Amino acid sequence: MNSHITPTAAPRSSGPDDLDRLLSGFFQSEVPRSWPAAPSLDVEPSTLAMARTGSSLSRWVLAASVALLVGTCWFASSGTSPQTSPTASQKNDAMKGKAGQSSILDEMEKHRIVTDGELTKP
Amino acid sequence: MPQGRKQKLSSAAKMARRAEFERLYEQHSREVWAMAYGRWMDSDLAMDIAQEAFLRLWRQWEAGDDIQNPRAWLLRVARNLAEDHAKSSFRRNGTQPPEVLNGVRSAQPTAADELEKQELFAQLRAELEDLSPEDRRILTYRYALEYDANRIADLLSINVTAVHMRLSRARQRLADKLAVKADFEHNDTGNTGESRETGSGT
Repeated sequence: MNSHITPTAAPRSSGPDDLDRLLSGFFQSEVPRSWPAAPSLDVEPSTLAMARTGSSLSRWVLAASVALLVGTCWFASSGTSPQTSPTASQKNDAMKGKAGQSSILDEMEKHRIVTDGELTKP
Repeated sequence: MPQGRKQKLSSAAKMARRAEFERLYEQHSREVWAMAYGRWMDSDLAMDIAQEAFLRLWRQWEAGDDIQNPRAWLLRVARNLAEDHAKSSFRRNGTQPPEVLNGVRSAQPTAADELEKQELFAQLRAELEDLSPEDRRILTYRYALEYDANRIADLLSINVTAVHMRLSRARQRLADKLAVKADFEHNDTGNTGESRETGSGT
């Protein structure tokens, strides 16, 4: 092949065959000797899938966090102010209860005295 | 349970898609390379472009795009990528004569025959640079991949007659240019030993 490809011979004898040989030799020398394998594909599918599941998980976490925060705030706000008034009212009720109980006891005592008195009469 | 079954199907679909991708690469990567090579006549660049075209195909599939004709899509992408590269190179470096570009490739001296071959190839490359990209593509498919005119016509979406005409015209032009160059070189060196040469008797 090399004997055909010389600067003096190839263009001069100039048959179509020589030109074909020249062109074939040139273009085929340009083709990579070892053809590379297909490009390596990134793990885009799995990363996409992971991103999808991760985003839904993060949404749930965010929602839970917000709910927890709101709940905590509500609990904190509802737990502080109502605590004082029930105690006072409870105390008042307790006092009222005691007073009531003492009046009942007095009545019962009086009744006993009266009944005892009647029993002791001849 | 339904979710587990769905995952198995999707992985099977992915494997099938991967196999299809490999098959397309095996079948069409050379002609995609040739499409890019015809524009820029740089083998390494053409390979980069071809690889990028296939990567883009894969990304399109991953994005859910259904490409009806992957081969035509790949060729179109390779052509566009080659054009984009040409424009960006022009902006960065401006035009350079082919001799400058050719000089970069063959730097190391080799045996005499090999050196002559490289010189001839350099001459041929310089003449090919003057052809249109479409003519270079036709020549690349014809001589690098040994495609016939029908197949070339199908690849380039032109009719077979046009392929024959362009191929014939390009070959004639190259033959004329190389012959003229050889005549000039012989006259310049004053080689009188070549009696067959025209104009060698000066």
